[in-house]
Amino acid sequence: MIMKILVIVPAYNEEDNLGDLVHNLRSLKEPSIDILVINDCSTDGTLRRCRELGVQVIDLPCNLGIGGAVQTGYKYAWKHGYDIAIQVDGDGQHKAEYIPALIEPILQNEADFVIGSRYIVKQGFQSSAVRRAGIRYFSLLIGLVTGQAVTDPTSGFRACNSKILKKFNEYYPKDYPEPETIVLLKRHRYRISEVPVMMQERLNGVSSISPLKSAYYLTKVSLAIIIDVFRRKTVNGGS
Amino acid sequence: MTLKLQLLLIAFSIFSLLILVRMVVRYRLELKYSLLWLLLSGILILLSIFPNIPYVFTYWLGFEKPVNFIFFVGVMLSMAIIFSLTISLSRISGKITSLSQEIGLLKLELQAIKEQKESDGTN
Repeated sequence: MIMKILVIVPAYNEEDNLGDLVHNLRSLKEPSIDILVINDCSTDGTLRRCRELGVQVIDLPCNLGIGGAVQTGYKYAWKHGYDIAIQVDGDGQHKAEYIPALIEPILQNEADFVIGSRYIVKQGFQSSAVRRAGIRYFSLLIGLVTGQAVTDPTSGFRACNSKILKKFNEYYPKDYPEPETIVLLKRHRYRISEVPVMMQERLNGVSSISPLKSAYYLTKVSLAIIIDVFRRKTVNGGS
Repeated sequence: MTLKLQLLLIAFSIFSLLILVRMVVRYRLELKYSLLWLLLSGILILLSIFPNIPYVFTYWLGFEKPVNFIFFVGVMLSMAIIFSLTISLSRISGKITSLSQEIGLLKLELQAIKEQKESDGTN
């Protein structure tokens, strides 16, 4: 059976990074993938760059933030009957060469959702000590709340199957969605697994999470995870 | 409560009610969002005209002065209004997100159709 696979690339002001990323994605021999860039109302030439590269792009009329942008991609994937959707950040942190490994658990029907983790084999870009502490804290909190062991809950390098596409089409968290999606999916009894990947420090531009926003980020995501405990569990979610 | 203060309160609450009604009449304010405001100014007018109503509650609940009770009610209702606004805001921001996503998806689809048409034209 041939799987329809979509790579979703959320991009906000990434005109300098998109070229390499698209090139690397296209040079993948296996699997065959479609690429969809979501231009989240960038103020630079991201859209022009996409047109030059001849890559499919959804040009959002308002800046929706990472959650809203990525969800647009999931909606597209769901509408067009994709079997697997892969999320790859537009800043070049995530390497295309790990995509086969990332989707392998889904192809083997061992997982519904796969996260590419920097912290299983601790190689490549590991982020700053402060960030790592924050990430470990989220792992702990998610483990406590859901019982799911996740080493890299903030990783935006992830793949999901069509069952989850249906879910994401209906609901996706807004501003800092990565940790929250794990709790959401776990609540619906989906199978989540992680595979080791190496990441790269972003090449150009600045990360969307500035140090000033960290306190807000920490509080907001913690609350989002804790509040999810009070949401209703569904029985017929996964498997 | 002095007569001066009472008159001031009456004038103020009637004035705000008039402004409110005028805006609804001129379609500047949707009736749906003005309902809580109407309730607030209605209660304020009632209380400032009949200061004896709050006396009952004032001593029953243990407020120092009736005017404190009136302010308390006013603040509580204002809070209710602000909260209802936050709810509307959340709902609207959700709708804007869905609309933007839908527009983005449609733009892509439209472009695909246009390209299809162009290539059909050249063939």
